[in-house]
Amino acid sequence: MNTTVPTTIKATTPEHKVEQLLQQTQGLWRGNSQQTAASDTARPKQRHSADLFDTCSSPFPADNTGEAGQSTGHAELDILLPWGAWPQSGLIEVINKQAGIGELQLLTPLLRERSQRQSSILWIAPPYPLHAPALAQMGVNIRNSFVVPAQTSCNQALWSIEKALQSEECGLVLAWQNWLSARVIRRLQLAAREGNTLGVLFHQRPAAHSPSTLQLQLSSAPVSQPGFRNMDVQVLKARGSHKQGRVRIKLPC
Amino acid sequence: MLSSRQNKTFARAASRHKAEFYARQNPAARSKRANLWYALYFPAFPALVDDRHSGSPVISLVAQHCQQVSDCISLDGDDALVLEVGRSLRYFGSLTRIRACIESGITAKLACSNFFQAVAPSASASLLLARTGHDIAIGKPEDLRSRLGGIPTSALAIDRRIQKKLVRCGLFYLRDIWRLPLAELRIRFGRNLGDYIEQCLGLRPEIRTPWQAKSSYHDRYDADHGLRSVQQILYACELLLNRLEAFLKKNHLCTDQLVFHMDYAASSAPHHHEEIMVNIRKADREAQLFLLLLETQLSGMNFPGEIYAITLRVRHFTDFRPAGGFQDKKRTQPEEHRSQLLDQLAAKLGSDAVQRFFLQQDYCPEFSTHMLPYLTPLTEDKTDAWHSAISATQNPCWLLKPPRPIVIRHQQLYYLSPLTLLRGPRRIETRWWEGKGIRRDYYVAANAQGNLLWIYQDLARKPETERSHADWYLHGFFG
Repeated sequence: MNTTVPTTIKATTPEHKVEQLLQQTQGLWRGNSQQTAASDTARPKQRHSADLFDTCSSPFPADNTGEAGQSTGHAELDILLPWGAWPQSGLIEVINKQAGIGELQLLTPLLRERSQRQSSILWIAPPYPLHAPALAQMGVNIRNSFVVPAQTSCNQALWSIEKALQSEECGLVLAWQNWLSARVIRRLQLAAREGNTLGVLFHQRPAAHSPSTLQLQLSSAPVSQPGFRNMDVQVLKARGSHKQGRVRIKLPC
Repeated sequence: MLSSRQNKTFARAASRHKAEFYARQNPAARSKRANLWYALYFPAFPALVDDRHSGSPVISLVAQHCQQVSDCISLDGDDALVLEVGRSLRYFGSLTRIRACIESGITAKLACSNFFQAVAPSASASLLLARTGHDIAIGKPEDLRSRLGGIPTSALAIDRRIQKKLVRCGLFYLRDIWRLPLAELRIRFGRNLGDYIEQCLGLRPEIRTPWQAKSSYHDRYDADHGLRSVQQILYACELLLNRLEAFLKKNHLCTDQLVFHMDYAASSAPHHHEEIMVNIRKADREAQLFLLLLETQLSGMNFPGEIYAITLRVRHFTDFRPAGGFQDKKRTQPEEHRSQLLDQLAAKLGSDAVQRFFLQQDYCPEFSTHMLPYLTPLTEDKTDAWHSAISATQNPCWLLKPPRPIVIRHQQLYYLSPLTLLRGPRRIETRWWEGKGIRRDYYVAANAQGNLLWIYQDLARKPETERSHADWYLHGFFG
């Protein structure tokens, strides 16, 4: 999906302020990445290799931080993510208070890519019945897609999410729950690591100290151009990076 | 049932046949096989269907019993069968004993005495005799002409038009046909009649489809002490499943459905039973897979008493096809992925709780998607429908079933906030051939919360002059 809005990373969080301050301070020792950092300041915004922690070994080596995943389809969001794309495996939390603001449209490239594999896509407790022609139109292979309907009880849905994440048969798990505690998310995160599977968890409220691989908050933004709708994507947490930021992406409507 | 006179006929025919059989023991005659066909006809059977055996006809039960006499059995419709008994004579000693064995079984199993039986050197002749109610036994092929002569041509197992043609030509009985040269008969009435007559007389070999019994597997575990915990039950089931796996491997089979019958004693009544069905999408034969699915199902169950017996039944078998075989390579479609996860989910949640999409070519959005249980295979036709159903127009990811009426506030459509129409209308008009036609104008609308909605105005309910704002519905969300 093409976007025309320029990248705008708002340095509103304390981490960003620290980062800006570090970048402005010349002569500060930056470990082994000094040369790289210096060269990157000359080419700003190309890639965030100026990150102080880039050369440090990741505390979570099993999260496939080195593997290139599927691009989000939005350059500005790719830049913000430490993998330069969606993570290859793990748990993505998508927090949106209102369903139907473009959360599936955001995931379209990922859905398309994962559904073309031999592994299946599992939709667990979607908020509304899925419309298969629309999914097929998006390029999703619906022969590989299976649905556990919303009528399933919460504990059985969580059991299903865990089993699906643990299984190597499942390429992508999309699940909807109102709220989940950090303890439950931790358990699902471990299941995803065990099965090397990617899970996307949609819920309405962020859990404090969430152990997920990536935590995104989505909110709608005012329309600036007819034929498009805007959506703000805020990265609350991404493993392997301390950065937080918000990008505004354009989705055709 | 046969009278004493007919019994003697049977005995005479058998002894004659036996004498011939021993006469043929010399090397010159050994090449010719001594066939003797025993036909059974049950006039009351077509109406009866055996429910206990998944709708298979009762004649299969008779065939099953007749396996004690011969392994060469062939069904003739749902009401008759024929079995070769020439090779069983040496074991049973006489045709009378064979008849007694068959009759006792039929009487005991089906409590049926209304049937006809006949024996002849050819299968077609024995069936013809039984179907016409002739309880006789013919031992020598030379006797066939004279014994069949009295049978009317209308009873022959041939096309009804040929039967009428024979009658119009004055050929009312088979003896009338014997008078005619067979070659001329073949020219006048067709090859099929000529072949049939030759088969009846034993002059032409006939190819009959052999009947094979449906495979079934049955195993039982009787516990010395009552089984209380899930672990104990699983241990017993593992023993049963290991034996099943050995059976399947020995017979090159696999299965997609197992039924466990648990007998337990409760305080209210001494005998209770519970059936647990284990289904898998792709037939398999691994005991560990079945055990995993059973464990998943058992985790959600609670038996009020101790289990004292477990019975395992398997009725559905398919041939085992190893992965990467010739048939796999021939497949044009990509191989279906393994489904152990889905089987496990279905075992826990129920087979209807795991669904797959089925697209149907229909203009009406609510009829274009069907959710089917995941066990339902997608056929070629369905796949074609899937491809053709995708229209060029944009559709929402979420569809509300049923559509929700939209509130009107201050002359404006309202869903959480006032709606703005972005695109439309797109007219959908279909199902006019049914009483309840569909005529709608679809629009894409947005609200202040950022929702992109798929709404429509129902035009089918009222004429244009009477149309009101109450005819607006929310049908979906662009996710």
